[in-house]
Amino acid sequence: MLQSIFLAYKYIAFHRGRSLVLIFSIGLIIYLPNGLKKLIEESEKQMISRAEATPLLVGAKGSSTDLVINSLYFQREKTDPISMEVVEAVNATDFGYAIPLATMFSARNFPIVGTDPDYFKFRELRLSAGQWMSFVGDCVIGSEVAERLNIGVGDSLVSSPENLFDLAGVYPLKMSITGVLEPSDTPDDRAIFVDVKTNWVIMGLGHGHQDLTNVMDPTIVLERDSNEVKAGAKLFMYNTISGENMDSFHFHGDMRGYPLSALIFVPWDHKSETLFRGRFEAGEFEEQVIVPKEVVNILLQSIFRIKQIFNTVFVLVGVATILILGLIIALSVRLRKNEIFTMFTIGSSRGKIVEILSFELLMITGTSMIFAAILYSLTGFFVDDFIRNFIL
Amino acid sequence: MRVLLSIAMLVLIFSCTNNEKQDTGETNGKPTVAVVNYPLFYFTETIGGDYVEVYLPAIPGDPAYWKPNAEHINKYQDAALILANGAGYAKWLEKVSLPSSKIVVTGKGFEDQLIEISEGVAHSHGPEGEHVHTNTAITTWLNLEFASGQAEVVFQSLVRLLPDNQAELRNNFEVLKKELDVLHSRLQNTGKSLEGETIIASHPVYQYMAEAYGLTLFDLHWEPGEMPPAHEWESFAKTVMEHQVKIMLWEDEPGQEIRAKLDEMGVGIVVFRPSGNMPEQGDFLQNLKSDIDSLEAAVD
Repeated sequence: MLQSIFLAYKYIAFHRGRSLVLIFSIGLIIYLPNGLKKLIEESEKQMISRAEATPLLVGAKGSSTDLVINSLYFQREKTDPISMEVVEAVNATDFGYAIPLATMFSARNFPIVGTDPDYFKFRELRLSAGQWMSFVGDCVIGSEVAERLNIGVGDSLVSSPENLFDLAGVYPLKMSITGVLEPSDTPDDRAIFVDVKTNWVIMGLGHGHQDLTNVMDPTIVLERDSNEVKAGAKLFMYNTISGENMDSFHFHGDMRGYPLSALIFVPWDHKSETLFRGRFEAGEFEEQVIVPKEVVNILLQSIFRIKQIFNTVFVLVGVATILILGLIIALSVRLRKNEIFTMFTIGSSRGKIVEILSFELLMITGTSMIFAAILYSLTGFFVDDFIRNFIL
Repeated sequence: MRVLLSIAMLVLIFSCTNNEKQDTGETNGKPTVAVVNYPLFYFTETIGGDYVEVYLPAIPGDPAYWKPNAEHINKYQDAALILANGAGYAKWLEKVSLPSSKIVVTGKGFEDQLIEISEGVAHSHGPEGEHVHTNTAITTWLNLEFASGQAEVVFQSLVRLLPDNQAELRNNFEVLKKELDVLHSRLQNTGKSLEGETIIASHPVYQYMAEAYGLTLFDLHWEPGEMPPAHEWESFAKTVMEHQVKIMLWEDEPGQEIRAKLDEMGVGIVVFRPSGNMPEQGDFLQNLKSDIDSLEAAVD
């Protein structure tokens, strides 16, 4: 038997080009349906667990899918804002507590998530370095942000302008990194967390500038009388918030009217959840309340339909490959007719020849399976990208 | 040795458990209630009794203009409840990161009755156009009806936090409310006696008191320990003459020099402490009672 294995190995090694093509094609055919199955199952697991961990979402009326994608996966879909007043109103129901979310901006292609300290406790996020944000202008970054941008505690991040051509638009804000989160294998890994008020500063609703009453430069102060000071665009607006200029930062108007993307509502118990949802059904609130799990399930149903189509395709491709493999073996036997005849002539039995050919086939399929297994194990690393690029 | 090691391990485990409890807003097994000024500290401590741990850091000066550091903010973030005053009191709240679900604004019930004061001149810059930074007067608790309302919000918030102790909390609140109501009536009577008279206040901190009890106030910006310059005394004398002023309200005992000058001018000194910060002596109600006694005595 060892001789048969040796001869089979020698044959494969001699025809390495042809054997490699066979190994890769069989390997891919084994891998593709299984890999896709794993991708979809892992994505489903991740999405469902994220959605299940978020009891209720409150947002402006409109697409519930966009609201979920925005609030759970920070993908910045266009949704109408709600006001901070809604946070107060839902907290006043005493059926649970609200966590504000503002996902309107980004910095170096990572989403900036405006929220408050409850978010970290609710998601059970932990710091791997530094401390939680304390002041407006502080930020805590996800593990992937820290790794990809090679930044950490003490460094800073500048918010990206919304529109390059909006010259009169909001000033980018330089945020100081106070903490880095431990990896959580969730979208939180690739987010930059700030307080909602920092988000409003980026929006231009709050700002810090030179004290106009003390500025005497005529190129800055355009008009001045006892009741009014009018400043020009040259007035220095602070683009970073620090201990020195913190006092000059102020918000205009009633902060309760300031915008949020959505809010997470965490009810005390099932009864509170039902009563809370009832308030929305009764029309007490203008916003919509959604159960993220239900929305994600609907989203995943369409993915399952695609998965079924793929599975059918793969079965057909698999059958075709097996037929081609059969053909290759038949053609190979025919091509090796003289070789087989020689082996027969020098005394090899018919059984021995079948044994050698079987070992060749076994080695090729075995190596293909190892190749497929390697690809399968690598698939786990691409779940997040798959969710972002193909599902959301 | 083995016994000692076991005890050390138990102590270590116990201390770890305690740390975890702090994360859930508890200190020594009691929920921590963080407040922004002394009146709220007093109300919470009086109503909550032994059931709560009240947190107000040692603040030099007026807590309204205090600037916390990151360590203070951590304490506020870890509290089970954060009691704010409202009326724009403690501007630092706007510049820090705190859980919105834990913040209760005790002055929310009388938001429509806040007294607006303008701060600085109108100015404009950028696309938002002209605006004035307006503020509201902050010492809301000097209207004792508002103080009572704030105490009621404290009571309701504590009941939410400690539903099993509702009866005792209610009892404590009712005792406090009764005392505040008595002092409110006394101030109303004093206000009636002072009808038509102008009082000078050393600082613009008595707006709510003036409005609630019908006092006509003329505000200055004088510090108790700083002798005002001569030209300020001149305009002061004019005001005293013009309005026949007999009483001047001070936030704290004025210096001897000031006292002598006021005596000379026939203006009586009444120390009426706003009590925004932790007092060195007495408590909120004791000090309030003694201040009302002084005011009543000056009126008599």
